[in-house]
Amino acid sequence: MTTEKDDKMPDLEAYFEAARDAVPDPSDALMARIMADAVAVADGWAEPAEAPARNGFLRGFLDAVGGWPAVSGMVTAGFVGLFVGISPPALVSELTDSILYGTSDAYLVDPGDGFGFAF
Amino acid sequence: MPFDAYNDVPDEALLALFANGDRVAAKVLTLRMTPRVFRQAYRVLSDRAEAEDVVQDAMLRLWKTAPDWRQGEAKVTTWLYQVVANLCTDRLRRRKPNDALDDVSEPEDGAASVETSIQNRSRSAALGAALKQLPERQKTAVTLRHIDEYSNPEIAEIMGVGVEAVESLIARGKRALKGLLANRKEELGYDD
Repeated sequence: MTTEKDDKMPDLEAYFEAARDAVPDPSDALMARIMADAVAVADGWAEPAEAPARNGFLRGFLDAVGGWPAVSGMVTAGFVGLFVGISPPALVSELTDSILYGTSDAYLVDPGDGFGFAF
Repeated sequence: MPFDAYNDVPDEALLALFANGDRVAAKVLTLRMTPRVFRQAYRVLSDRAEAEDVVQDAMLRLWKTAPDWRQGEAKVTTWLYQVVANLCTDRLRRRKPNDALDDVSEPEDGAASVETSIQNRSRSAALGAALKQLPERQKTAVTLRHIDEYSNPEIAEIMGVGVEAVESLIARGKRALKGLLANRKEELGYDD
């Protein structure tokens, strides 16, 4: 039931609606810029997020031995060792024979004996 | 997850999804948040370009803060409201005195009939004038509820009061508005 007083009262919702309609909608360009910002920010997170993939066993090993230069030295040493094992030079053969089988005399050399190059 | 499946996901959960790389969540949040905060900024600044700059800046801050968002401690809506309010205040401070614009801007909708447009502008201007006569907290509560369309719990959080206090402020504000607008109706001699 409405009274005469109610009839004279303004319909507030009509005023609120007018106030809401007075504001334009945000433009599509703004929405696109906001989404582009979101993608750029997310891309920024993705880059450091890839770091753990490089921090695996290989990375830890490289850090422990001193990086790729150290690995190249280790590989070279490994090949030299393999070569010596397969095809030992004559000097090495004589030395190993002398140690293992005692077929050669051992010499003690004292380079300082007789004051040869003391002064 | 299909786009529609995000409709019922709370804002804070969408932000967490975005922080985990879900870009659809960012799109849903953009569509959900932008119109409301744009209205807020436009109402304060009365300038589309400035309002868009403020909203873009506020949303960028939201994206950046997503990984550090503490779930359960704040709501995205109220956080954004505060950020936009602060950015608008900064803009207003930087404006030169002669840059000040009228509170009621020109409507941009060319589709509305001239009569409807004039009536809406008249109502909007009358409401703006009446709101200015309300106590500050009543004005804020009524504006947030009926123009920016925040819920009462959200308004309570924004204003730092309880929901019951918000309901009381809105009720008193609307009662005062009705009186003020009734007087204006009689002055101007138009219906509604």
